[in-house]
Amino acid sequence: MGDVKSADAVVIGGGARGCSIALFLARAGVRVVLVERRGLADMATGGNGAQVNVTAKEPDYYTAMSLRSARMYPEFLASLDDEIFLQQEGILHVTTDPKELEGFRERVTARNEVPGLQCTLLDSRQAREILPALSPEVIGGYMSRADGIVDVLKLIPAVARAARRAGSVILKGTEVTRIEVAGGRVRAVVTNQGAIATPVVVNAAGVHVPHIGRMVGVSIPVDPEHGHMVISQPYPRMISIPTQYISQWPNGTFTIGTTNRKAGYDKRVRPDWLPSFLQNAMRILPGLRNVGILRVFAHLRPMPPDRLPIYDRAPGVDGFYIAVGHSGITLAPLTGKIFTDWIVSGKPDMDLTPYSLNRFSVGSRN
Amino acid sequence: MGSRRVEKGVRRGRAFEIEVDGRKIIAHEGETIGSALLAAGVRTLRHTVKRNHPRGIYCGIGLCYECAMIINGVPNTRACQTLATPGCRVETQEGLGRLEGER
Amino acid sequence: MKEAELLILGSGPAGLAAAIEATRAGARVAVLDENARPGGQIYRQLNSGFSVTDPDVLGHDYERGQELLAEFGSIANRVEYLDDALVWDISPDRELAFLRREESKSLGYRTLIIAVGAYDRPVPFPGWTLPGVFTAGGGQRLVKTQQVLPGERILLAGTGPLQLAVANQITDAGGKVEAIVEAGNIDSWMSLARGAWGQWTLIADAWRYWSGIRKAGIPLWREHIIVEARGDGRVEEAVVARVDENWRPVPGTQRTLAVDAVCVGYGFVPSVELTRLAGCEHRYEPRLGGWVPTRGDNMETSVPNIYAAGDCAGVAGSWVAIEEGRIAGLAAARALGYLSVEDAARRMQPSRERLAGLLRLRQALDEISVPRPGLYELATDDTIVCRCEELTLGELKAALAEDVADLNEVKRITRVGMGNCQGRMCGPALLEILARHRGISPADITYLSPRPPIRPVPMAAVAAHRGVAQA
Repeated sequence: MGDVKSADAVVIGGGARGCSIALFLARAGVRVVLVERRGLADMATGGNGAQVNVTAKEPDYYTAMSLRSARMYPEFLASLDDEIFLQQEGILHVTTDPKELEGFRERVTARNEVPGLQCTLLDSRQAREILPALSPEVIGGYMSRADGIVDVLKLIPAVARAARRAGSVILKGTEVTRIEVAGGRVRAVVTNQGAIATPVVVNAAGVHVPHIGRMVGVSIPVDPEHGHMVISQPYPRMISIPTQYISQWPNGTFTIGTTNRKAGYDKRVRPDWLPSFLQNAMRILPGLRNVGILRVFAHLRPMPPDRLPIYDRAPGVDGFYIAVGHSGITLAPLTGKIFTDWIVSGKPDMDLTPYSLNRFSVGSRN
Repeated sequence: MGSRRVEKGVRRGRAFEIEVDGRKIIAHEGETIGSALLAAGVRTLRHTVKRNHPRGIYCGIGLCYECAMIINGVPNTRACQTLATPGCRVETQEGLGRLEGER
Repeated sequence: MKEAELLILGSGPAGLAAAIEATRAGARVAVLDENARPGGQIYRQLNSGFSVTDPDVLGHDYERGQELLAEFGSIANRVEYLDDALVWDISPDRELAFLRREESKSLGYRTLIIAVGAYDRPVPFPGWTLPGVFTAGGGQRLVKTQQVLPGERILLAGTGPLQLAVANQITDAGGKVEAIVEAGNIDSWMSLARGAWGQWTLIADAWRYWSGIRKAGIPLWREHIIVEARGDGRVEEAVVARVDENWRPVPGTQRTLAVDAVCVGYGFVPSVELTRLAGCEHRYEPRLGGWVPTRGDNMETSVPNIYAAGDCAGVAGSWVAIEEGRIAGLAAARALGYLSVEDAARRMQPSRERLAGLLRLRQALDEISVPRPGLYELATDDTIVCRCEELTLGELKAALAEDVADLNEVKRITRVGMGNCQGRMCGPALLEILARHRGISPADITYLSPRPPIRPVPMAAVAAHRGVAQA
C-alpha cells in the first residue's frame, strides 16, 4: 500500500460508478482512494453492451435521470486525455410483431413527455432507410438521438488516469476485508493490503454491494442477473447505428446481448441460452448469418428488485454511501456528480427519494 | 520465383481454374486456396485494418487468421483452410473487406 | 448420441492410442476430431486428389503414423468416430458443445480424454509479420501435406529437432534450404547424446536428418538466432546473429542472408483452452511449453473423469504422446469398470517403461530448446506483438505503465488478445512481457480468462444449437 494510510473518502469498486465518483471527488479536491479487488472494469462494467441508453428506462423520472447523464457525456469525454469513441445518434429499436409495435407507440408517447427527450416512431420503410440491412420482416420501430454507445473499455482506464492526475489514489488487487465503524460512523476501511482511515466510504462494488454492506450491518437488496454477451469477428460495416442489442463497432466487430436470468454468481456461459436471442438478432439482421462468433461471456448485472438504482446513505452509519444499479455506463457522469455534491456540500443536486434504500422496507441496521 | 509445387514423388489431382482478384490461376484438387496462391507466387493475402500492412500465411494450421480473404463473397475466410474449388472467387481482403454486392 | 461413455478429443498420436487401448479393453469409445481424417498434425494425411508415387517423399513419421492408423483401423468399427467435429465449449456438467457440418450440438460424456495437441510457439521479432515468415509447423504442413515449397531460398530458424526434419523434407522435395540457425549450443548436445542412449530408432532418425543436411550442403549454425526479417512487403532478407547462453545476440556478429521464406520453430505451446474451460488445475512449466494441466500417473487431471494426454498436457513429441494416450485409455477403461486394477497395470507397464526412457531423452532435448530470456527480448518497441489488433511492444509497455492487475486488465485496456486468433499468437509473448515488467515469474500471473467458443464458430450454427435434451 505504500504510504496511503488515510483519506477523505474511500470508494470501493473499480467499475464505471466507482471510477467516475473517484474522478469527480478528486477534481473537487477530496483526497480519495479507490480500492478495487482485481482490475478496473473487472465485472459488469467490463462485459456489457456499452450502451448509453435513455429510452429503455422507465418510469419517467428514471428516463429523465438517464437523459441528464447522457447529455453530460460529450463534456465528460472531452475532459479525458484520450479519444474515446462515443456515438449518440440513436439506437433503433425494431419489431416484427404488430402487438409490440403498438407497445412502441405507447412507449414513444410516454417518452416524449419527458422534457427534452425526442423519440420518434418509425414505420418499416423509415426503419430500413436508416438501416438498409434490416430484414423486410421488420414492420416498424422507434428511436431517439439521446441513445448511443461508448467505448467502455477505453473509457474506464481514461477516467482512472484523469482521476489519478486530479490526485486520486487507485489501488488494484486490493480487497476490502472489514469496515471499522465506531460511534455510529465510518472510521476506516481494512483491506488485504492494510487499513485506510476515512470518514466516508462509497460502496460502488456492483454485485458485491451486499457483501460490503454487510460489513457495516446494512442489508442492500442487489441480485446478480446473468447476461450473455456475444462478440463477433470483425466484419465489413453492416449497420451505422445499433439496433436492439446489436452494435457494430468501428473495428468491425458486433456485440450482441443479451439474456436476463437469475443464476446466482455463476458467470458460466450456457450454450443452451444462446439460440433464442441469436435467432432474434439474425431475424432482424439476416446478414449476421455469415458472421463468426469470436467469444461469448457472461456478466452479472447488479440488479435491485425494481431495476432502479440505489443511491442512498446507509441508515445509522454516518459516512457510508451506496451507489449501485445496472446501467452504470449510462449513469456514470451523473453518478460522479451526484455523490461528489453530496459528500462535499452535504446534499446531492437532485431528489434521490426514488432511489432510496428504504423503498424496499429493508436496509435497517441488523 | 518464390514458392512452387513439389514435383518429386507425388501426383496431383485434376487441375482447374480459380479466380483471384479478377485473374485466373491454376489450382489442383486437394489444394487449399492458400497453397494454390503460394504456388502462383501470391504471398500477400490481405492488408490490415489499422496500418494497411501486408499479411500472408503464418501458422498454416488455421489458428492465426492472417490468411483471411474474401472467398466467394464471404470475408474473414481462412485461405489455408479452404479447399480450392473450380471457379471459386478469391479476393485480397483490404481491411475488413466488403459485403457481397458492394463496391 | 446424447452421451458418450468414453469420449476422446483429438485423433493425433495420443488420441488414437487412447482409443485403441480403451476399445480393446471393452469400453465404448467415441472420438471427435476437427480434421477430415485421423492423424492429428504429425501424421496428417494427404487430401484426396493427391497420390504418392514415391512413399519416401512422406518421410518416416508418415510410416509410423501408418502403423498407428492401421492399429486404429483394426478396432475402428467399434468406435463412434466423428470427423470435422470442432469442440467449442466444455462445461463442468460433463457436457461439451461441438460444431460439425455447420450444426452445433451438445454431447454429454461420462469420461473424457483431452488429446488436442499443441501449436507453434509464436515469437515476435522485427519483421515477423511479413508475408513469407511462416511457423516451422506451418512450413512443414505446406511441404508435406500440400506439396508446396514455402519459397525458393528458405531459412529455418529456431531450435530443436523439428527444424532438421523440415530441412530434410524440403530438400527431399527438391527445395533449397539456405541455412539452419539453431539457438542451442554444443554442450547441451553432449548431454543429449547421453539422454538419447537406448532410443535407437530416434538416434537413427537424428543421424538420417544430420546426414541429409550435410549431404545437401546446408549450413547449420548453432548458437544463432534470427533477429530480423526484412523486405518490401515480403521477406527478402533475414538477419541472424550469434547468441550467448541466454540467447541474447552478441554485438557485432550479425550477418544478412538473402532469403524469400523463413520457417520459425521455437517449440510448441500446449493447447490448454479446453482443460482450462473445464476447470482443470494448471501449472506453469517452461520445459513443457508453458501452462499445462497438472496430472497424476494415469494422466488424470484435477477434474474427476477428465484425462489429458499428449502435447496438450506438456509438449514431449509423438512418441511420448502415444504412450500417454495408451495409459490414459487404459486408466479410463479401468475407471469405467472394464478392467481390474491389476489388468490395467499390466497393460500399462510396457508404456510406462517406454515413457521412462523417452523422458530421459526429452529432458536432454528440453535443456537445449527451452526458451531462454533473449528470445523474448528480440522485439523492439516498433515490433507488432498482437498481430490481430496490430499492437506494438511499445503500446503494450505503455499500458503496463498504468499498473495493471493481471493479463485480463491489459486485454481490456489495449484489446490485446481480442482478435481472431483469440490470444493464441500474442498470449505467450504477452505473459513474458508482463513477467519481465513486474520482475516476477510467469507462473505468478493470471493468464487470459478462457472463453467459449475456443475457436470461432458461425453465428448461424450457435443460433441453432441443440442441447443434450434435443440432440
